[in-house]
Amino acid sequence: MVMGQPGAAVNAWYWRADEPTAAREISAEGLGTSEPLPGSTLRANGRWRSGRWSVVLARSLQGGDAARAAQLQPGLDTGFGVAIWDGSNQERGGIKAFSGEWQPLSLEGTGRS
Amino acid sequence: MAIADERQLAMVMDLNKCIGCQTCTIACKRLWTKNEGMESMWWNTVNTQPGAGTPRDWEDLGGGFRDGVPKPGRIPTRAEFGQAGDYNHDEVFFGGKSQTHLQTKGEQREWGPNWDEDQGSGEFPNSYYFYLPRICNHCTHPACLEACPRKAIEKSRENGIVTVNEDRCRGYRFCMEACPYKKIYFNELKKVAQKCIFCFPRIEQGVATACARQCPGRVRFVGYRDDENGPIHKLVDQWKVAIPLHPEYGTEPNVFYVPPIGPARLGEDPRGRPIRADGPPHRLQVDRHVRRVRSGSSDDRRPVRRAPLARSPYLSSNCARISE
Repeated sequence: MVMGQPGAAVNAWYWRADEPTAAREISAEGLGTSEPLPGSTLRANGRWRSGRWSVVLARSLQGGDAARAAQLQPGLDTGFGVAIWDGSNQERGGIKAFSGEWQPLSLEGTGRS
Repeated sequence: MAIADERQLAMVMDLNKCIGCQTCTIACKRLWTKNEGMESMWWNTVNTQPGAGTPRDWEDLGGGFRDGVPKPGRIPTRAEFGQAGDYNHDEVFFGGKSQTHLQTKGEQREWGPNWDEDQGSGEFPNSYYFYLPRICNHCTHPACLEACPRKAIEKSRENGIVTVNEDRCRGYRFCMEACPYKKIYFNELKKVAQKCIFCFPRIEQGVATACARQCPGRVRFVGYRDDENGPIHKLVDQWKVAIPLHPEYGTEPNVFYVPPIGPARLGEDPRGRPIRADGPPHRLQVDRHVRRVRSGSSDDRRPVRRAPLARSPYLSSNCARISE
């Protein structure tokens, strides 16, 4: 959760409540290095109902720049984390709530490629 | 201390000459901040002192360094900056009615960038005020630059001008917390921080900043700090008549001020006519706001010497072009 390191990029899917239909896919190799990922196919939509947001972020498993965009494959484990910024609490940049460790992500099935 | 191949542009403002006309403010506004998203930005402000300044009570908002350690600060609110009003221009200029006057639409406003203009302080006949123009100080040790996790703020080696790289800025506004002078604004439309750029495109053409060139009072001197034949070195280092604003903020600002010499303090003779009063000679010195401007480093605390300035050729020429 320190946004990767040089040579080991993290790929982040980013959504914010003030533009609920805009999806942002970024890549970073360390704190303060995030850049928009060119050729991103990420889509997003969010809906505010009964006091909470429901958000869907969608992308093809194999997406965009293979070097920097996470390539997901059924049967292949990867790690993911979640970070949340509460803007009304002045949270932005490195000031955020985040999952402390990588969570395992396994997609069922066998990869065809 | 600057490294040998680094140079620092600086500005000296003679507060005795400022008439508070805001021509500098408008020159800057017309040149740099007239686009959408910049309505509330005033990279150059002129405020009456004693007074709250812009943003309101900015000296209480923290930032900068104390004994080399960053001091926490907070982002000024939009209300403290003073939001741009929406005026009834259509009605006044094109409405065809005679009994209208210019006023803001909607709710009554309670604060603005120059709200306490000319209020000053003191009791008649010893009331007083002076004007304090402010821009980004293009500090030698910029707190904004250090606060930015994205390294979006750059300080030029050629001239020391501090700029925000809007391609790198993500609008986090840590710079706005860190700047002790509260001279960084936020563009709500582009979602980036924006500030005075010391008119660097003009500087690159050898032309002084718009605020300096447009000043009717010729308050401002622009030049390189190390140019011994230029006005900055003479006023700041040689004659020591110009001093930084709040040097205790620890950022080494590069805008310097010739402090105001106040009018004499007045009392009354037995017939009620004003006479020179006993006690401190000037009205200004009694007030803490003036001490702020006056308090430099210990070396700067000596009485301000006026005589050399009066003979200075720069008094009348105002350095229209930057001396190299």
